[in-house]
Amino acid sequence: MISLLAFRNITHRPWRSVLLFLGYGVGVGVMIVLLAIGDALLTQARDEKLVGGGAVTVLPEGLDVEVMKTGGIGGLYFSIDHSRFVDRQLLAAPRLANAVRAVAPQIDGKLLYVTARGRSTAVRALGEIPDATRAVGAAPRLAEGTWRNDGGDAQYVDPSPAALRHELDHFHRPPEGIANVDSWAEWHYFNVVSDDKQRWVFMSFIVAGDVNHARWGGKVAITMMRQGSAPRRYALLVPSSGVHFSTTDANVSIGGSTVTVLPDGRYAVRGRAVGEQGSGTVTVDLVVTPVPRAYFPGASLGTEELASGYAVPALRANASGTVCENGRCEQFTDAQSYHDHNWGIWRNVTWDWGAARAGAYTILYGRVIPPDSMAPLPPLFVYVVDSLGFLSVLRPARIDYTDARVIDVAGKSVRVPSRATFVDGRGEDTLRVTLDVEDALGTDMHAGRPERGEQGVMSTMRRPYFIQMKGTATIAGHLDGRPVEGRGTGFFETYR
Amino acid sequence: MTEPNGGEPVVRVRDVRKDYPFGDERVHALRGVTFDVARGDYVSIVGPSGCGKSTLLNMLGAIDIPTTGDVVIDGLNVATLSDRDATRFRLQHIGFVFQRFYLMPILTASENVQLPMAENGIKPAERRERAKTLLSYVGLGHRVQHRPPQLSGGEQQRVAIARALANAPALLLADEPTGELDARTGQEVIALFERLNADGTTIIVVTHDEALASAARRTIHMRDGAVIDTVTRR
Repeated sequence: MISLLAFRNITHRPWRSVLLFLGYGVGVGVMIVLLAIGDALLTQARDEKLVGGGAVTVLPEGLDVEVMKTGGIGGLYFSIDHSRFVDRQLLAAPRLANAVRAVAPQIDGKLLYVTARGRSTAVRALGEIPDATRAVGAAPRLAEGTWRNDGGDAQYVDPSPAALRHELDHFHRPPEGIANVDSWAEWHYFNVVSDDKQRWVFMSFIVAGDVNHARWGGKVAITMMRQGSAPRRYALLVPSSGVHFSTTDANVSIGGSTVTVLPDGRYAVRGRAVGEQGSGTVTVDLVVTPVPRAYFPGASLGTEELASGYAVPALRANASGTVCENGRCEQFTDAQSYHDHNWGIWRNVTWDWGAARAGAYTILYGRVIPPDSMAPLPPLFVYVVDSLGFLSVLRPARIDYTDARVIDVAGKSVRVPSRATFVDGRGEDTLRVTLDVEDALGTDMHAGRPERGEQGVMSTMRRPYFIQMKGTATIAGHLDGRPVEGRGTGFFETYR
Repeated sequence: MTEPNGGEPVVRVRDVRKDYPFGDERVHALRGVTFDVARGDYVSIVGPSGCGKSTLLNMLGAIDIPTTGDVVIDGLNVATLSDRDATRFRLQHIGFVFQRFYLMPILTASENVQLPMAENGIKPAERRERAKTLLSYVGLGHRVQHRPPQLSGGEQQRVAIARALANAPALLLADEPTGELDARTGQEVIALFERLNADGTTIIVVTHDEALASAARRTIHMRDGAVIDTVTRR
């Protein structure tokens, strides 16, 4: 009956119906056009080529997506710090494998200068990973040829372990014009601890001085530790002619001592040093195996007077091999180990630092305090990894030390920490870390240290005693929606 | 002539009050109206404009509900019905005849009569047959395929009456059914109502037309929202 009514309505006044149909047709046509425009706007808004991402777009801090879409000037100069880390350890990490289907890193509108025949021309450049861009549905339409990942693209997305070490662990040159350049120093640091946690070894392979010009050299420093006993220090100074390092890879040789990244990404650490009193030798021959994904990508600070950087290629590692002291060798097999890389101008710089295993988790914490700083102490950072890699970063406002231990430092009694705690909560993440100190070693920094560029310089540090501690870290809290707890051995540093 | 059924009344109105907000005040459209209408009865409701006749008719037609009191039609309290159920109830239990005929000008007389039957789910063949019967009953057997503009006012009202009877309602409500008609065609409608009632249809008619009102068995006089008198003729 309703259809009859409709039909009769149309046929009852045919001209009116025709007019209505025409009007309706025009209305529908206009609506189709408007919807098409809206759809185009929507498509444009979602276009990975314009926005730079798929469902989630990571932008440089301080920029919004509209600026990126419209090619604002910010796109010329801003970049995403540690974008490789963000890609590998956050977005494309196994932890988010169920949530993230594809990640397409891209840099667009980057200002570059092309120099040819003595003339420089400013250009805007685009860089992306073809297969990744295709995976998020933003591949360009090809007129001809192919558009596939090349070797560089593959290395960006999934570097070999050795390539990753070189990327994180290569050497640097001091920035031109920086003050106190002769106090520049850069070094590989390793430690290894025996299974019973009673003996441990600190090893540093140092390149120090104005490496851009003259007056620089290398040093191998090895400290042998036994819990409750005095440290035994060994060192070997090597002139620059006997030192080789690279700003593109992690390998270094200082005299006969070497740190070499093996093709499978492990470190071959071979060192020799003599007793600081001129007697005795120590030789190290270890292979350090970093645990996959347990690394810290690095951070750097920079002012006119301060330049420093820090990366941890092996936050959690195992070491095998021998350390021989005056002919007596100790064999290490899959022993707990750690490796970091430091560079910069460290004169009168102090810090709180520590790295520890805590069950299935590994933590790294620290903060750097510039010389003569009148500012309030900066918050700590605490970086937590597990078997899937990066888990969380927290920023405790302070670290509470209990200085109930007294040690002798160059003939002086110095109160040093017996315990330290720090706590932080971020969103639903919470973490409490307790460090129980089992052994502490003090170094008087009044005498300059070559690895700090302080040869012959009397330090004016307000806290002149550098305290290196070994102990047990205990963590408890809630991270990434699940409870975490763990306990294990670690090494900690501070100043008194 | 069938006497009103002495059993359960088809309409039972009990102390019905209806208030409307008007600015900060309330208007009392009905002030405690009570009456029954037996099955087969023919009742006219008369009174001056604004006395509450149309408000009462809306409640009898399950179009509105009282502020207080009960309106029970064919055993069902209309205040308890949802909008959807009230619509269904009107379709199946009540026939409406209005002053203006409200016929669909693009449908034939037969199709206009079939319209409520179609809504009630009656099959096309059956509703065509019933429409023909009803139109013959109201004296339009020869105008089945005519459209309203081809009919006189009296004929259109008779089509509207046939349409009101389409689903065999328990109650026929008429609101000034002769208001648009001249005296002669008005008489035809009055005669048709009398015949309908004589054949058993319960009718309530609201009117100013004295001839129509006096044709009813009983006349309820209203003023200021209240029943002031009831006159029973037969």
